[in-house]
Amino acid sequence: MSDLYSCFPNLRDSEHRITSPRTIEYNCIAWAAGDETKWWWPDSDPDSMYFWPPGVSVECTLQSFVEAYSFLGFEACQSASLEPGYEKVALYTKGGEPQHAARQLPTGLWTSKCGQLEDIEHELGALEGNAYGNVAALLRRPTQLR
Amino acid sequence: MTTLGSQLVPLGGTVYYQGIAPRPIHQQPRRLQPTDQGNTPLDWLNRSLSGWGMGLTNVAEPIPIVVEVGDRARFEALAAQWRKDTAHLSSVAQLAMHPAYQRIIGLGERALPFLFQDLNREPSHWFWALRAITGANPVPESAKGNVAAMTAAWLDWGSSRGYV
Repeated sequence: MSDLYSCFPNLRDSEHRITSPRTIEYNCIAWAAGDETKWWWPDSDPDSMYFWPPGVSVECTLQSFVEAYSFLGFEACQSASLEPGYEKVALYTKGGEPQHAARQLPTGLWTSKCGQLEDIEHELGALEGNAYGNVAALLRRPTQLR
Repeated sequence: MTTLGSQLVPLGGTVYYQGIAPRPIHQQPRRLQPTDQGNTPLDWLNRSLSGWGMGLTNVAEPIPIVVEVGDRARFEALAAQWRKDTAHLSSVAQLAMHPAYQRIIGLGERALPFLFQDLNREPSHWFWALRAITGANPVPESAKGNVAAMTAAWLDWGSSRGYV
């Protein structure tokens, strides 16, 4: 837990719990999209070895990430509050560059895969800070049957 | 370095890994000695092939990869620093641009034995470094982002070249 606390000091004083062991099989962008099998990231190398949804601009910009989730049916929204019938994704940026994505749970808490670290449930603001910056965009789509 | 027949002799603080398969000197098969000449299976094969105009003297020598003493410790320290600083990151660019990762790339081919050994031990994001050093990309389109499949593709590639 020391790695999580050192990266996200706001976690200490907020509601949270670890929900998985560490793995590098997937990352936060994939996890928020419901994919536990791939590492998603836009790599501008034409021979990129990482996954990025086909047809989405391959740029490390907020717009590109919004496009990627639009591909999955998400659209911009204004509130991070729980809305029955919708699932939400929050995008964190630092210096304008996307760093992280979190997905809202039916409880109103958020779930995150923190890089190569664990999955955690947390309050949205608990991951804001030096590591991931701040929440810069909120997206929602009708709740999908899993 | 001096040569005695086909034998490489390490000098000073340098260990020479020879051949397509870079292995520590103590793990290498025993090399031919001058006294062996004419009596080894290789000589027998060479004589047989020469009779058909196919002597082994025409076979290209593999390019040696030279790994300096201290490279392993240097790699381990840089890898540990990189893991510590980047464990929370998702950005491939930030993982690859970390100074410790860049210094590993800076080791060039000398880093390859360690990268493959590390990758063989547990999956890690060494793909960018491997591509930067080797210029290869053995990851098929269908395996993009699948870390287990990416790892397997690179280990297969490394194995076929003697790194694993």
